[in-house]
Amino acid sequence: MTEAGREVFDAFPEWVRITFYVLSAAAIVLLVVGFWLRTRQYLAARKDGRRKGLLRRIARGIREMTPFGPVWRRNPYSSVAHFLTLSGFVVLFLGTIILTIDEDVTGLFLGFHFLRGTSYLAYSLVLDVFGVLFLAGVLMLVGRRAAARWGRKFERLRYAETVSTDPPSFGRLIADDRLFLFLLLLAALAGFLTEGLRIYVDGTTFEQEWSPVGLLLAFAFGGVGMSPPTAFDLYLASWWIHAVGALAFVAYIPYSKAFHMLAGFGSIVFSDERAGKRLEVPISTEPTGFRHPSDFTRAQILHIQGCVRCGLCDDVCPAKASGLPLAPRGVLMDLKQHIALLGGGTPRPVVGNAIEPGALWSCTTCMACMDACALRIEHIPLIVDMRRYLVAQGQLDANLQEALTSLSRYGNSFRKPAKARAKWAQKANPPLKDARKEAVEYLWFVGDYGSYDPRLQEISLRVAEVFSRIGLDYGILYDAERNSGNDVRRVGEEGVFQSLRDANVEALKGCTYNNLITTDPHTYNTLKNEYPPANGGRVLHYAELLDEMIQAGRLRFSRKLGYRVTYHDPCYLGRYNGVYDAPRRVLSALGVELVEMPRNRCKSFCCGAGGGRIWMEETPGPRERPAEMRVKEAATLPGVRTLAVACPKDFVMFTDAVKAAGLEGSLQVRDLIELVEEAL
Amino acid sequence: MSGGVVVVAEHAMGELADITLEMLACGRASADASRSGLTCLVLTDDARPFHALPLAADKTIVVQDPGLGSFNPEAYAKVLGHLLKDLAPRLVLLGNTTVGTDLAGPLSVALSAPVVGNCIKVDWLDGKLVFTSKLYGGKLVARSVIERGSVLTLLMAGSYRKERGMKDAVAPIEVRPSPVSLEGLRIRFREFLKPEAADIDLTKIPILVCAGRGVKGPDNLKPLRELADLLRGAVCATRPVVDQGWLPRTRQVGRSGLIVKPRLYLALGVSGAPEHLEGMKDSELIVAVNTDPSAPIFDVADYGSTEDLLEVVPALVGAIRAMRGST
Amino acid sequence: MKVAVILRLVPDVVEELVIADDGRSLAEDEIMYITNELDEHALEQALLLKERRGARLTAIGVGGDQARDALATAVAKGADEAVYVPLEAQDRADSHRIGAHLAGLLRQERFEVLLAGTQSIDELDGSLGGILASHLGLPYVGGLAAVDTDPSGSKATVKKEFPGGRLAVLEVSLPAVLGIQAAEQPPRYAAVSRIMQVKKSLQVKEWKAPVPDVVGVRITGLAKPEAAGRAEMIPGDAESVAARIARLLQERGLL
Repeated sequence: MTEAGREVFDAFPEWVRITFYVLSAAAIVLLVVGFWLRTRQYLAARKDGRRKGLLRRIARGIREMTPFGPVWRRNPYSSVAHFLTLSGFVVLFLGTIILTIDEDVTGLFLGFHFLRGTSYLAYSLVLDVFGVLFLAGVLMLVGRRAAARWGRKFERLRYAETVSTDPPSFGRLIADDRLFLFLLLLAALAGFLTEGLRIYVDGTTFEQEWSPVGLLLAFAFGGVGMSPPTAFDLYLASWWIHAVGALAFVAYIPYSKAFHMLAGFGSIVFSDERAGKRLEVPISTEPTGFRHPSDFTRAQILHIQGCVRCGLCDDVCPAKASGLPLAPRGVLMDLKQHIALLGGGTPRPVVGNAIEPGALWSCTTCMACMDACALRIEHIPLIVDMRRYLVAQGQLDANLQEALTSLSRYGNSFRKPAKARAKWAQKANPPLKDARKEAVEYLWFVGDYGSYDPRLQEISLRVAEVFSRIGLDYGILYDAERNSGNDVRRVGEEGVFQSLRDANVEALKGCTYNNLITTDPHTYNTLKNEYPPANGGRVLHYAELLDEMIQAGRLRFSRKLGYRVTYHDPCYLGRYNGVYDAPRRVLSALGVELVEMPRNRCKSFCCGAGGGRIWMEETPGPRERPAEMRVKEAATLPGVRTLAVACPKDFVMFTDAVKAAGLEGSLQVRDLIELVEEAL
Repeated sequence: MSGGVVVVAEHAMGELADITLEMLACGRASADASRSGLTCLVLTDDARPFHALPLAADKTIVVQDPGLGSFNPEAYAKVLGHLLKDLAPRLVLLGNTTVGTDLAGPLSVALSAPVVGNCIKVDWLDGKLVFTSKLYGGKLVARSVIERGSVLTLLMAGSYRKERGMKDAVAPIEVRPSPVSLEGLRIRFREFLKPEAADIDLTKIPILVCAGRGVKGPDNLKPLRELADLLRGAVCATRPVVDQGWLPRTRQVGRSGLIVKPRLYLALGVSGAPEHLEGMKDSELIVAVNTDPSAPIFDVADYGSTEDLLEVVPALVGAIRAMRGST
Repeated sequence: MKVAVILRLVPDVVEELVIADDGRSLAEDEIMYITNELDEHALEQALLLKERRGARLTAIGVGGDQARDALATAVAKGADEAVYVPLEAQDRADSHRIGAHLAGLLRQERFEVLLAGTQSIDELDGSLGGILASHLGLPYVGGLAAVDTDPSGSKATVKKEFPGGRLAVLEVSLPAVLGIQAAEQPPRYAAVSRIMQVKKSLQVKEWKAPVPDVVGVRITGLAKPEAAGRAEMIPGDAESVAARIARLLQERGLL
């Protein structure tokens, strides 16, 4: 009996071997050319210094491809299917390489084969098992597409209502999506068939090969009484199908969605933990609107090349949900088209050509898209960069223009003098310490809304009241405070952001304090991530502060609020900065019964005010506004009549939405501090 | 007749504008206080409509010339320059309008006489003219004194009662040709543009709900419309709101829009700049809502509140509904 | 064709206006200077003219240091040249003084169109445009909502606002001074980073001639208006205010 091993081509005529190598060469040429084109795009882009910590990045990349990554928790079906496909593919791919080395390198040049005996048995078993897993994964993916096509699930796969510039070309995209899966399925099925036929033809036994599937199939063929010549012909045919299919796939990789195997991995590896939270400074004062390849960073090219159009981002986008012309996936798709045209002909900016301003202005920068993306694509920095172009061109609506002019002149968006900022504090008793003159333990950065909006001035007074009652040593900047600039930066007005930040930093320099507190998550984000470190202290949201005070026993409640409450995680506190538990601990200490909304924590649904949208002319989408959708979500919870918020914009948006949705009387919007005061 | 008071009339389509009567009221008081005469100057291409007007002037001079058909600043300045040099008045009253303001500068240089703009009051004190004017969007008032010599002043609409510009008898009228040639002017009047067809005539609506800048955006007009409908009134706007495109120009109240005198004027988010006040200060009842307590609107309003109009309006709608429901 | 636009720096009325001890002027250190709003419109109209007719635009900034910022903004928006005319605080609201001063500057170069805002928020002695035109011997018409010229720059067609919201079309032979009430489109936005960039490299010509000793009108007293009938302020929150107003309307038979 021959030793366990594989003799490739042994049964085939010579022409098969030669043709196969010729076709392989052709496939490899196409592969290399395709790779080169993609690499050229990558190299033409700007370096971005993200090579630091490469090993750690790669480790993270590997971790995120497994079901232990963040996408797993939210999409179990897709995650399992993808992981099976991925691991199966990797193993089978490596298996092919090993076989090739054994056959054409060590066998040919060094005169020995290592895939013999036990090693071959192990090899064949592993490949078969992973082949089954691979097939299972691919079938799950095919099943998902069928559900999308004929059922109502996974509608994002159908590009249903995707907003992009070129709707008819969806046909081509769907063809690409399907071809990819088809080739994989073909490879798997033809692979097993070929294996089964080979084993049947060769009469290989279990001692010689541990390929359960192949052996089973061979047994079946024997069972139907297939004649050896037929089997051989079928074997050759099946082998060819598998070979050609596999080679076609290989050649196809760089021209199709399959390239995400590399670019997608690269996208994860070179993504930045702080993307979005901490925006990058523009490279020049004259934004070009992504006119040249070098306007993109290399990581951005990987994001764009790696995007597989899965639509997870679209599914969570609040702007898209309300019918506004923004689809995060659409933006990536448009950018893909745009970079394909870059470098040839006259440079054109992407905005106004591939992407419409309306789409860019619709974004609330809530970061749900980035959070949902399996490839860690950074949508928001791309959108902000394009907004920078629009601002430089003066293409912004009149309301936004007024707000920016007001911010530039008065340091607030309310068109009120800077001197009037602390007028609300005159009503506070005891008077608030002036942090510019006295040292304080906590410097409270109040924020625009808390200072100038009449409804929120009330909340600020309550906060002051609570702080005083718990004996906190705190003060405010009075007139020296300016808008922190978080949303100004995200609107694309980097110049005003920098002058606001510089003014605030200057004011803070002259103060003595240990920690910064703020009542506004937007302020929190930029102070924490985009301002120079705060004198060695921390930046705390007041929910975090209250939590600390409760833990330290400094904040005690005299009663338990026994009613049911739901809590809305603010985008800039939750998704951006991971503060989910502190407010919940505070609510728990208050004795309320917290009922979570279906979309809670990182899935929280934005109120729609972020990204400067609160300053823009309202152009509501054809469907409901995000805030109205959200309050309705809260109202569905049984026994819940209170929606707790921890952000002034949420307060304003949801209060208005409750009225607009006719829920006055059944749902009340209350700031966390109101609940705290009630329980004191 | 040197040393007297002269009013430069403004007119359109054969009728004297209200500002002319107000200027005559002011001029009359001035002439009486200084014991001098009041002359009304009308520049027109057709003297007939002005023949028998019971104006409070001592004399009306109508300069008739085909070149004076419609307002042409160059033609007017030329004619007036001549006439005023002859008349040598102490005080020349012009309207603080796009007509008067075109003329003040050129006449000032031609006559070497100072100009006092934005004027709301003219007084005499020991032979000196004392002017009270609004400045800085109405936030401050300025006093100025012209001790001797001629002075031009631009009178703001609504500062004097136009009834005082009329009297029982017709003042003597003199019709003259133009003292200068009006050929070869560098400014030529072409035509009036047809105004956009107004959907409604705001001057005939008894209750007006005015949207000012404090409304912040076109979507906030919805509750205002609701309120207006409830009161069987209409929504109007200040100039900035119209400039933003939130409402058509036919809804603009103010100096370059409409002058209205409704029974009720609700000024919401309106600061009260003089140009707007000119358009509505004679309303019977003015209620103003503006978060800025120093807004000039509160000087003309009868009642006011510094609450947020976006809260007051829906509450008001509710209160009115409740009131109606219970009666 | 050459176009000039005059940008005056005036006190911002959003800020509280503090009267100086002499009771006749504003306390200088409390003033925040911004470009006169109607001059911003004049600039916008000038830029539109430049874009339409390929004119060369000169921006003239009048005032203190802030005028340099205004000029940088004008250039960032598209002006070709900037001229700075320094003026002491007490002169900045005097149309006669400014007019006489600028006449000297504007006689040096021939501009087909000179644009300025129809009025400024702090002037007491009439429109700058009319005075300037007289000194230069040019025609003047103000209160304009639209300006266009023929390609050769020999005449302008303008739309002038009249009371009651009527618009009239006039034709003006150039050169002329035109007073803008509202530009054909709202003033455009200039990104702050571009303005700062322009500021770094901007070459500003300075008009250093002595200011003519001309005075428009001397203010003898400046005060907050004593309202002849100040509104009765309704206390309470929005609900109480609304209730009070509703009652008021009912009493007056307006409901």
